[in-house]
Amino acid sequence: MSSRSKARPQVIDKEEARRLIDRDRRSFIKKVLGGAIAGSLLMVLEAGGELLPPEQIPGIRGEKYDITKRRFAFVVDITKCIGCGSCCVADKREYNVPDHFARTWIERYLIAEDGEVFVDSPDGGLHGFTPRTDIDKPIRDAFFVPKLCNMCKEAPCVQVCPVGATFKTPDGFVIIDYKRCVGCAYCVQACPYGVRYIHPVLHTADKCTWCYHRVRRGLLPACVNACPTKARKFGDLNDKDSEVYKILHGPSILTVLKKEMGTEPNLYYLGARQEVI
Amino acid sequence: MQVGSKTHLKRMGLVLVAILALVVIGRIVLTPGTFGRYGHYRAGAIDDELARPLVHETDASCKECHEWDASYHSKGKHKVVSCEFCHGPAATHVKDGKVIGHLEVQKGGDINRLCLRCHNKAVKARPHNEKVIKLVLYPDHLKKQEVEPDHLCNQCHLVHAPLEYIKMADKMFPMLKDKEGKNVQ
Repeated sequence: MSSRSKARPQVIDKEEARRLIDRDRRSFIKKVLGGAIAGSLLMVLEAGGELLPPEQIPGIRGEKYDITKRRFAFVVDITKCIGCGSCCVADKREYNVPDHFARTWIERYLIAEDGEVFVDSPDGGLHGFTPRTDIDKPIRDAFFVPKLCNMCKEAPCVQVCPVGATFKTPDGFVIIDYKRCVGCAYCVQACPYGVRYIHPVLHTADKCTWCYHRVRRGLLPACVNACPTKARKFGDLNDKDSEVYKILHGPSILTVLKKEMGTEPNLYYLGARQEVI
Repeated sequence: MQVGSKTHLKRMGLVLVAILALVVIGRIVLTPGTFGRYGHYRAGAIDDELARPLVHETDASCKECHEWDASYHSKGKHKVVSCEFCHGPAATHVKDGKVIGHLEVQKGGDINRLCLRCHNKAVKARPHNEKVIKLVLYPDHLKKQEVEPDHLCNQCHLVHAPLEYIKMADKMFPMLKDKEGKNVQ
């Protein structure tokens, strides 16, 4: 303010004083009014939104979200999965998934010396794993494989839905319209990865959505936050600083499940052996 | 019927027009407003999915109130374990900035079960990489560390920062370790 920057004289006459007070009063009122308007606006904005933790995926909040300009990818690092089942627990809580169903689960692979493959997934890994005692063959390789929706670019489930209840959003998520789904389970049969099931309460199809409601709020999927070894990674491929961008554009050997099906998944695996299906 | 009359044709035409009008009106009425905005589906379903409430939040949300717990959790080896995995989701604890319920604190035998979910070496499929996970055999670990067989994990390991007390003890009693860091009698 000009009144502040100018050094005030020690002794001032009445006219000068009034002028100064008037100017200050004007600026005072201006500031108060401005503050009040800004404050009330803030309150309106606060009331409309919800209290959210700090953003985890940069650039989702803030400017208007352009649904057509996003490309998300999921990377699962098999060499880091310890089979603790944190992801399954987080997933079950986030969506209140009914018992004996899972939107994401963990499979345990044991490969014997003679090449025989043993796969098990007790309750989807929800309660963790206990040592397997029923195999008397020497094991040459053992690892865990977390499974979830592959978010195919050419999704068979979308293609077969007779009522258009499952679809691919412009930002690449395959999600379900629970109001339209008639529960015919055609998609359950069509999915080559077995990620779909018929929800016993809703009587509609249901599956992993990579936590679309969290992603659009700028938060990572629940399973990614829960994973203690960072075996699960999620991010935007348009963001060159994101971890998934660096992995997908780096020297790591990445695989997708059932490549020959031509579904073009957006879910990539690091360190997957050829036995993984 | 008179020869050359076209009444039947007119009637048929009227019926056809009526059917067509019904189909058009029916289509307009029955198609959801947001259908076809992005593709052959109801775009409103995206908003339905977005309206789903959050159940889990992030460690940063917990830190807002539990700053002291977060301060040492964030320094220890267990900083990668999310608060909500052991204690339960934020949605059952806080709503609109107010506490609505208390979260569980794991106690007794549950502590051991929880620890072994990740650290049990007997589950062979875990990666044998110290940087990813430190594996122990239970109860062999208790024997090796020369403690009572009914000891719980959290009697030596602070659950939020598992090596905190171990490091503290090593600093206080350096004579109990040999050069390779192993316990001496």
